[in-house]
Amino acid sequence: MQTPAAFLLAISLASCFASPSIAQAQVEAPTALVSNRPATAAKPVALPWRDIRWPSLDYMRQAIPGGGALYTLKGLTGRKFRIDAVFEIGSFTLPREKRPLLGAAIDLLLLGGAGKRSFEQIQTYVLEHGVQIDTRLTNLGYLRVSVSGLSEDFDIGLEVLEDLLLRPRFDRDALEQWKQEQMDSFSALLDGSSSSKQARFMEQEVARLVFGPDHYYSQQLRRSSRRTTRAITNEDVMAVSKRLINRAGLTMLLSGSFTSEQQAKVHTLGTRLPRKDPEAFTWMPDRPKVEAPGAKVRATVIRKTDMAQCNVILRHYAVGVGRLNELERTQVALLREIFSSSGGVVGNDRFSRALRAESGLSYSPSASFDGEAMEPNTNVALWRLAFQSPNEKVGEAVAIARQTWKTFVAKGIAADELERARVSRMNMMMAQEPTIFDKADGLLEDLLARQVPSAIGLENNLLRLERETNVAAVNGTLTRLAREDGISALVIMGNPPADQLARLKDTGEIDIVKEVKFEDLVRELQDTK
Amino acid sequence: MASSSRSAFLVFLLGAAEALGSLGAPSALAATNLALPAGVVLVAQGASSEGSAVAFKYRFPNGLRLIVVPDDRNPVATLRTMLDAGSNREVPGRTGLAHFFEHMMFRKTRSQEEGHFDRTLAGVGGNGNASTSTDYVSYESTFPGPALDTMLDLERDRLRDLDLQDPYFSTEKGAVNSERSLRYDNDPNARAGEILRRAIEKGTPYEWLTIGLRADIVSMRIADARAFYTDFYTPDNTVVSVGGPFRPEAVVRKVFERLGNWQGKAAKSPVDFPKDYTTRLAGKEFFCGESVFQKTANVVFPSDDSSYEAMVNTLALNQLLATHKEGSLAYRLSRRKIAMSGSLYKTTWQKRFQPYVVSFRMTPEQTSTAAEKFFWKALDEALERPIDAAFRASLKKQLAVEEADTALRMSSLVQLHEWNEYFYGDFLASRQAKPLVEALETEKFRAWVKQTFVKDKAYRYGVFPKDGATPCDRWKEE
Repeated sequence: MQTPAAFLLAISLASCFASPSIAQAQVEAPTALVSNRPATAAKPVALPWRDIRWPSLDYMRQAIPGGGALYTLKGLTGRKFRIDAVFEIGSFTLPREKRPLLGAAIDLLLLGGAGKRSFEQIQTYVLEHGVQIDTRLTNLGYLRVSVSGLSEDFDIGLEVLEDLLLRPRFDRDALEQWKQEQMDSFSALLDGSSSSKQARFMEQEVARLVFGPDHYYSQQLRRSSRRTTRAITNEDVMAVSKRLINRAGLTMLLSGSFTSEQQAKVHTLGTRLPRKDPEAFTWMPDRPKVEAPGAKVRATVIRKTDMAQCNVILRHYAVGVGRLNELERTQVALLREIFSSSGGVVGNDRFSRALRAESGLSYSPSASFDGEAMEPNTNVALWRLAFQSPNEKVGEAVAIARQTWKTFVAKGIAADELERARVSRMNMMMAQEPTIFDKADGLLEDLLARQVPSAIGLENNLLRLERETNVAAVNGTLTRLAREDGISALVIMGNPPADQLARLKDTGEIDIVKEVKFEDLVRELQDTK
Repeated sequence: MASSSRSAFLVFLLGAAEALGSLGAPSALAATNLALPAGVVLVAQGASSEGSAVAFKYRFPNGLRLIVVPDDRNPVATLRTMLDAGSNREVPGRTGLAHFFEHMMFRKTRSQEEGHFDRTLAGVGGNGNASTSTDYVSYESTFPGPALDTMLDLERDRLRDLDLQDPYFSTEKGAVNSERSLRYDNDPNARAGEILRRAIEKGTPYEWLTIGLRADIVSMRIADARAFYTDFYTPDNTVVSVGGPFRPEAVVRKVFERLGNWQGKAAKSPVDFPKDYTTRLAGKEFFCGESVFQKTANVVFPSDDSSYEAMVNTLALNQLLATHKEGSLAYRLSRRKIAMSGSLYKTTWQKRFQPYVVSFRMTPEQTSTAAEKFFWKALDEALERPIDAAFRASLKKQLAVEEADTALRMSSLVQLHEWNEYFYGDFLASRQAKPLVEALETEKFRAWVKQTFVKDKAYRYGVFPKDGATPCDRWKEE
């Protein structure tokens, strides 16, 4: 515990240290590639992270006989607890065509009532006691059930969780209610009235360009359609639901503030869950085919005439890169920071500088990298670029985005950029405020990805960043991840004039394979009688 | 750095590490007036809830309010600045200025080159954001604790010495127009909302969207922006909040060094609300059609009650509606196929007027009349339930969960104090919640509901699918 005297000392010393020198130490600039904005502040200074005793990730594992495990992660402060239970049934363990049934079964675990309570009664009960419960799919398509609340209400939370897992009712009329809600939501999606709805259609078209129209990723909207939803029967849902709760492969995580007695209760619940045949992946989405080097960017234009500006997404899939190793993950984090930084800072990275700070074309240009874009079928990495543009300037905006990307890939990054990004990311570690539940989420993610979580992950990250000073190595990774035989796709949604589309074609790099009206995309998804 | 300073800095960081390692409750750091700069007063200190960090509020001679939340759980700090310089300070013809100004605050100052803010913030490993609304503009950044001086320098420079000039001024217009297109012009619901708002809020400072009209953004002049800066970026209009592993008096000294002699008095808002603002729309309806699937309908009960008690009463009402034996209000509406969803909220992010809104989303076949009728029935049923000890306990439970969530992060605590101060004039306002809940009493609560939710005093507005509805452009012409 800090004493007032120590703090007084600390603050006066912080004044000494936290002088403008943090941002403005004078350093010789290298002669390599430099950024366009005036280099005002020179090299930032790394804060001495080694002097901090970073908290370690102190989790424990307790076996649940029959193939399960309970992990615990205790927080020393805080008044809340959370229990997560993840089951290995998921999108890739059931046949592909059963995916809509999985969604229904997962929602109906709660909506259908449990134990002696209907859904309405559960709703009232949890509200009165400040408990939250939900069911969802993880990014790998596993079922995750979570309950949280104040530690003093632990037993109530556990009671509700137990009912859900051991005594779900799947009340018959709940399915009709669920279907109605799903169909209404889907119908609302079809007006494309917001950027998030528009994005769903754009994602469909990107998937069609890269994977083909019948691929799993290209069918997401169709899987949610009214026709598909209407066809779901109670018997189908019950058949899937019987496989949901299974102790084989179970991962439970208890986090926050809890006692050893409470932990024992969670463990006991785990042992009481039924043990069935383990689940395993039975299929995986196909990877895209590799293209010849120099292949054009495949493009689709979705015309929605009431849009005042275009939304644009550019994707580059690098096929065959394999899983990234630890060094590459650090390098990619730095590359991403240089190309399109996170943290709400605009104009300091290449992409937002080009598309916003200097040209004013786009409000929120962003780019990100996904090393395992097709998890669980890996070997495919993905760069995602997204931005907006006035309709009448979309050709110019795409050209700027492509040029920024091509320069990045072809010429790589400069030593001064690497240094700034490296130090910036190291300093960012000291600007984190992870709660115990953030750490629990990270732990769960690692466990489900079959990666043993490091107890000193933060320090590992800092050490790797500190040592990542070889710009040639980082540029080598960039080249590998943006390889020429990857697949690039462009989707524009808006109302661009003909001359802008002509401008795109005239580059010789873009092949507009499809121009479609938004209304026609909607018509494909509507019921036909 | 001199070796003695270096080793002393290690002491600081090791000290922080011990606090970090212990992960105990935040240290109790007392503050006194003795160490404060001349004229600065410690107005009050306290914790917003049991176990959370003690916060301190100071007032500077120039009117600036400073809130400090010492918290040594992590080496992270946060700096927030909130000003009464929202879009309600604009005039027709120059709409969007407050929001545009927010954008310019990240560009150039008189003493620094363009891009300095971004580069410095990124260099220290910080992240930042800002938002503008009708009644405020807010800037926030989070960064490592040792960068406090650097961040305060940046804040001083832009609050006092912003340099508005081309080409950045004109470039930023493009970005703002892009934002406008993204949030409004490309969204039929939002487009319709803008038209209806103009009709509903005619002659008031809420008539235009915070983002402004496109034509006004395009024609915005540097001189207007400079005038806005002078008029409303003043110390008496500002709340600065700092959280992190600091002793409060040290923060006060640092802020005073930079903002203590900042001069200026906020101008009056050029457009005021009419005297009959809360009654002039009683019984009126504003509905129109756009190319959307869903219907949205809102019933608005105007109110100038911005007391904390009103907020707690709203919480109680929502709890009653949510814990009906047949499920929450939204669930019952959906189950009976009357509406897709429904909710009730109080507009707590405005200062003078905080109306209550009951909001519905419906399919094209469902009607707002039926949805509203169901709401009134639900309200009557809610009022039949007594406010007893069990109900008060459940409400206190909700508050406790919210407190526990807020207490997990220092930055959330700082934001809570900032909003309490800005909207309720008391940075510890949320302490009123529990006593107010304990004092809740059936008859008094029922009387409050009956005088607040009066059918004939409400007005209604919404957006319907095009077919069969009057086009929204009709309101434009009017």
